[in-house]
Amino acid sequence: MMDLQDQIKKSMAGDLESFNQIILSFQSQIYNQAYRIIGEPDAAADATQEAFISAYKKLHTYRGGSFKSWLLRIVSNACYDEFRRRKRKPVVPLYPEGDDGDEIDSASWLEDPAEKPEDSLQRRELSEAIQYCLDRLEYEFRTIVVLVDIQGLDYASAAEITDRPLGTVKSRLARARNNLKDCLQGFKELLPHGLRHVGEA
Amino acid sequence: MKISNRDWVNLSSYLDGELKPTELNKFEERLKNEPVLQHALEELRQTKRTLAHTPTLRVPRNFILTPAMVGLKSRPRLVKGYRLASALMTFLLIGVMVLDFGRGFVSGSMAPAAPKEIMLEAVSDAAEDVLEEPALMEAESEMESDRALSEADAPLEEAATTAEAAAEEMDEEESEGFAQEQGTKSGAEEAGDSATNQAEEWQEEETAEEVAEEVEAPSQALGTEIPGTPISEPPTPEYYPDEEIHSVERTTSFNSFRILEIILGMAAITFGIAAWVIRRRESR
Repeated sequence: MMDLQDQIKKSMAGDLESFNQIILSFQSQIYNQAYRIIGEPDAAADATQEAFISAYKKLHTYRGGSFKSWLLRIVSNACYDEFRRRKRKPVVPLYPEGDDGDEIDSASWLEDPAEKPEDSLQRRELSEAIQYCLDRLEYEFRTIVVLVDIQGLDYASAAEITDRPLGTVKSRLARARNNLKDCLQGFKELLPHGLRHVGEA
Repeated sequence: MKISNRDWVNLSSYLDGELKPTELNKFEERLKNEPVLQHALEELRQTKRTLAHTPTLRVPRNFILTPAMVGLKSRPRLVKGYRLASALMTFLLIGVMVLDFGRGFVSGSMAPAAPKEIMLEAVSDAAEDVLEEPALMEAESEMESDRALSEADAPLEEAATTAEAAAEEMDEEESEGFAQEQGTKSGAEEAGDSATNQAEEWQEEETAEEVAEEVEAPSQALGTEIPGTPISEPPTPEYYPDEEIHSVERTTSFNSFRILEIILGMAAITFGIAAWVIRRRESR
């Protein structure tokens, strides 16, 4: 089995098959990044596909370093394009509104009544709760917190991907976490036992 | 006590180990003394841990790329085009080579015509040289002056008439010789290479004799009094057989065929190599 560097080298030489191997390795992380930023599955899939096409075409600009960071930067740009597109053409809100016009607090409305596997329900609800809170953040705050807290990148990588100074990354991350902390307290019953005492501390 | 934005940034950075060493000591000192900061730090830690536990979504589909997605669809077309062009050039090359070979085979008897032509040209050149010699030029001018004098002299008119008759006889002899030469040529073509060679040898001898007669005949026919003057008119190219004149054109077309063959051959090879290179790049 070829390692990543060999696959990158062959892809740079125009071998699409090698690049597809890279896609299979990274598509989960890239799609999740797109989904957490955009918050809509179809748009995230489109952004992911666009990001991989763009990555293949811009492979000559890759100058070594973390390939994952390089891909995340491309998908972040694709998400930003999608974000702006959606801003120009507002779509039907993902979250239903109550009778009073306010959005329903819980993200459990996304639950499919036909699908009731107990072991995956809590996992799905947690995912949706996090997404609900992420969507309430401004775009740049959301991108940074996803890069650092979900993708597990360090501040320097996040600064490189978002093309922002390190100090800006630090301050935006702090604000994003503070907002998320407050938001997630509304879903503490959905959190795993080890995480439930966030609001109780 | 309310936590400032600056403290939130320090808490967040402290959580990730991103505080500078100088800031770290100060902040750790504050953390020990301020329970509010400790509580906020714990909340942030739980938030971070929750986000780290964010479930990974399953991808709805594979995002592998097809050649059409990245604009590689035109390449096979290019390869096909180059291949087609290469094949076309090869067929044209074969056609031109067959045509060239066919022409050489059909007019095969024309090939050895070159030495004869050279010989004829040499003879005609020699005749022209003879005419251009000063002594002969003087003799010719004397002959013209004598002619002028003879015009006024009636008895001499008979001599002039005799000279004209002799000139006509000479033309008839030359025409017969030319006809014989033509007949020999057509016979040689039919008889094949050996007969052609024999006919050509005979023809060469005959042509040499004719040329010699041409040089001598005018002076005899005219019956002029110019001593040592072999001819009165230079031989003209119209006496040459048509095939020998056309052989010069054939040489030119021969070269054109060669150039065309080279061009077609190079084009066929170039297109073939281009198709091969593109195909090889794609297969990498």
